[in-house]
Amino acid sequence: MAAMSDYERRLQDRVLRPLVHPGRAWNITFAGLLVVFGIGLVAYAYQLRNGLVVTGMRDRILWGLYITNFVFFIGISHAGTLISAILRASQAGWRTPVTRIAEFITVVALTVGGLMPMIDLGRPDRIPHLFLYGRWQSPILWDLLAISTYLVGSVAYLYLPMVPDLAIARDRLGVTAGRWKHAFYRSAALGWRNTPAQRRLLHRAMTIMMVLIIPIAVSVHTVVSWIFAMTLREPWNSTVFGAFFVAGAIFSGIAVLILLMALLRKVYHLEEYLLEKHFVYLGYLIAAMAAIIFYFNVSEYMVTGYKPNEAVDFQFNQMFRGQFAGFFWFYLVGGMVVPVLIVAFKRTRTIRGIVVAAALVAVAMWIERYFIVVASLRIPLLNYEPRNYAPTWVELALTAGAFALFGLVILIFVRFIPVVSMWEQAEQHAVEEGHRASPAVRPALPDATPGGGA
Amino acid sequence: MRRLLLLLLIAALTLPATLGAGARRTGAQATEPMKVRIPITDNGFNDQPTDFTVTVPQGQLIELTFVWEQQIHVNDEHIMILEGYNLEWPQIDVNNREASLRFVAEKAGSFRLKCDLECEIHDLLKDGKLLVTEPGTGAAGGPDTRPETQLALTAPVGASLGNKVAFSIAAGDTTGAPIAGAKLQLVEVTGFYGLDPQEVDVARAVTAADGTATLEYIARRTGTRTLKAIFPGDSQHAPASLDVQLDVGDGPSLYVVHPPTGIPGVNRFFVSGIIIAVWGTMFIVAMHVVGIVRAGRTEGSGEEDGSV
Repeated sequence: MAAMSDYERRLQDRVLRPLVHPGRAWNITFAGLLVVFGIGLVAYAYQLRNGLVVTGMRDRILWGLYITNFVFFIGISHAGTLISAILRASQAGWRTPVTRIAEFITVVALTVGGLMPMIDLGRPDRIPHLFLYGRWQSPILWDLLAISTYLVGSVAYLYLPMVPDLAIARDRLGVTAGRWKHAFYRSAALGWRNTPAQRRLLHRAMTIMMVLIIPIAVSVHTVVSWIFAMTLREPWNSTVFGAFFVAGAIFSGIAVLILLMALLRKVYHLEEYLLEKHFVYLGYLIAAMAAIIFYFNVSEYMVTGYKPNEAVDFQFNQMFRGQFAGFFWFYLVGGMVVPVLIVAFKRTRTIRGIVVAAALVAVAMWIERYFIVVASLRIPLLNYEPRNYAPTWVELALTAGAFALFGLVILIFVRFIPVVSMWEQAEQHAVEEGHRASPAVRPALPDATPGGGA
Repeated sequence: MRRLLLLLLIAALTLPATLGAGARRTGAQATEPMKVRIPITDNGFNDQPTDFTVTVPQGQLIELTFVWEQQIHVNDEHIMILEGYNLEWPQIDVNNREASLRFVAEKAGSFRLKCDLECEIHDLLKDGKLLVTEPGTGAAGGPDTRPETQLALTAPVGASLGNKVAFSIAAGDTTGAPIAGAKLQLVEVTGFYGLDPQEVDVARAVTAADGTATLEYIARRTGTRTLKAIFPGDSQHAPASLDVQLDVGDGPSLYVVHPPTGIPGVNRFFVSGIIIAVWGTMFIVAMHVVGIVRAGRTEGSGEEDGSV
């Protein structure tokens, strides 16, 4: 067994430390998020008891914050698996410290996003109806199928590269991690001993999942867009909605990935592994996606605006100068132009600058989801006065609860799972250092004392 | 003394004039004009792209004010005119937003209100109407003395779901003479999810020279449907309406399950094939995981947890 290099030892010490000593910040944040989540639960109980009438949704604007959140969370789920798979497939060496966090986001965002339509349904007892009476012709059923497939695929794609790291945690931490945690690492590591047969099987399984997950991820957000595009509503009558949604999903996904990376880097002192270049490269991706989204917007509004009908006229008025104008212009300027400018100038192309750009993008993309849902439904279908939608405290509390749940599950993940793929990072480091000491899949197996032996 | 007499003389001369003026003012207050304000928006008169009509009784003093309220075509200018009365309002635009004229609606009938300039929304501002109703039409609040209108309706007794039903409606006066150009409306009186029944607009038509018009209705719900033919009245004829019941029986489903044009081979089996392929591939991955566990057991030695 090859001896562990100083770099690997330092890496493992740094990455494994939060699994044993999460720190006070973790406890405080966890408690805070738990309170917010609890408020969300109370709101949901209130909604269950009294029905959807406690929300701001009515017959004319029948979707609101819940579906906005659903589209947003499913969107950011693309951060992970898709980005990670694309970077792996393109053998982008700089990806290694990024992929694990990205894959976390996918699984957590899918879980939280998947809850949103159930909350929106109002009657959760009717969820089995989807399976009992679901029809092939319905995009809702396609959505259910695509999201559940993506969730299973993403869990597998998160788990496979994690196996060698779980073995490292098992061996380095031993029982000092706690009895339950140690039992978890033992079973989750699948008896990993870094044998040639195991490496071969793992490599092949990862390759299969890498190839499989990209079309699944694309299909998921395409199908989510079809829920809108296949409904007769003027702003949704678009043939490019699928591509528009996929691009938007990657865009918002990268933004949330940057935010989470910055947070973990700061809290867990991962400065040696999450370098400025990682933020800058992701910043370039943000700028590229911003340009693509901007192009989609211009194309969409130009084409529909050139041959307007009454509904288009109504939509343009409310978006450009009416009720949603503030949202719309922030989305366009704050969510696209400003981030591109931040990335474009060397002076602002710093970690802090890119985090600001990512925060703007994340907020702008949530807002975009909001007006795609609410503004479009506001257009009257018959000759009636347009109605307005204002979320009630129940919807706001549930939205806050959903974001809190997102944070909570991430916190639980980082308590159990190494946030950086140690074996891949070590391998990449070895390549960069120019020596081939490590085999293809080389987790540094135990030659250390239990408890980390830092 | 002479000065006092002079003052008395002046007072005697001016008092009747002052009192007369006061009397005239009082008279003017009694005939206060009917004030009508018409906003001009980007959608036309009062935000209504079509069918904009101001109705006033004959002989009414009116103060008609056009108010410029456009938000998109901000450079638009309008000079409104009222045909038949030969009235022209001063120009309105973003700087001069209001123009008023006061006149007496002496002539009865329908008169066109329109913008006399080639503005951006000219199409929306060329068909406004001032409808001056003769006394006795009820429009001014008095009794409606217009002659009654008779409506007669011909329709099938029953229909099947999805059928298109043609209602032939004839409008005539009390003498049986057909009324040409009468605007007819067909509404369905229906409730929705327990709400009170409402009149839902189904079709509209204008009668031909023989006083008849055909209005079509698509039967979308089974059971006894209640429909109503409505003539809202005009300057010559009183309003009238006629209820009719239509029994709608079962028919073929209105929901089209199969697309009119299919792509050969793209069907549920094709989709099932894709789903099976995806999940089958994931099953293969799961088998790899099992393989990893087995490989660890066969090739490994001792405890996995390092046993150090």
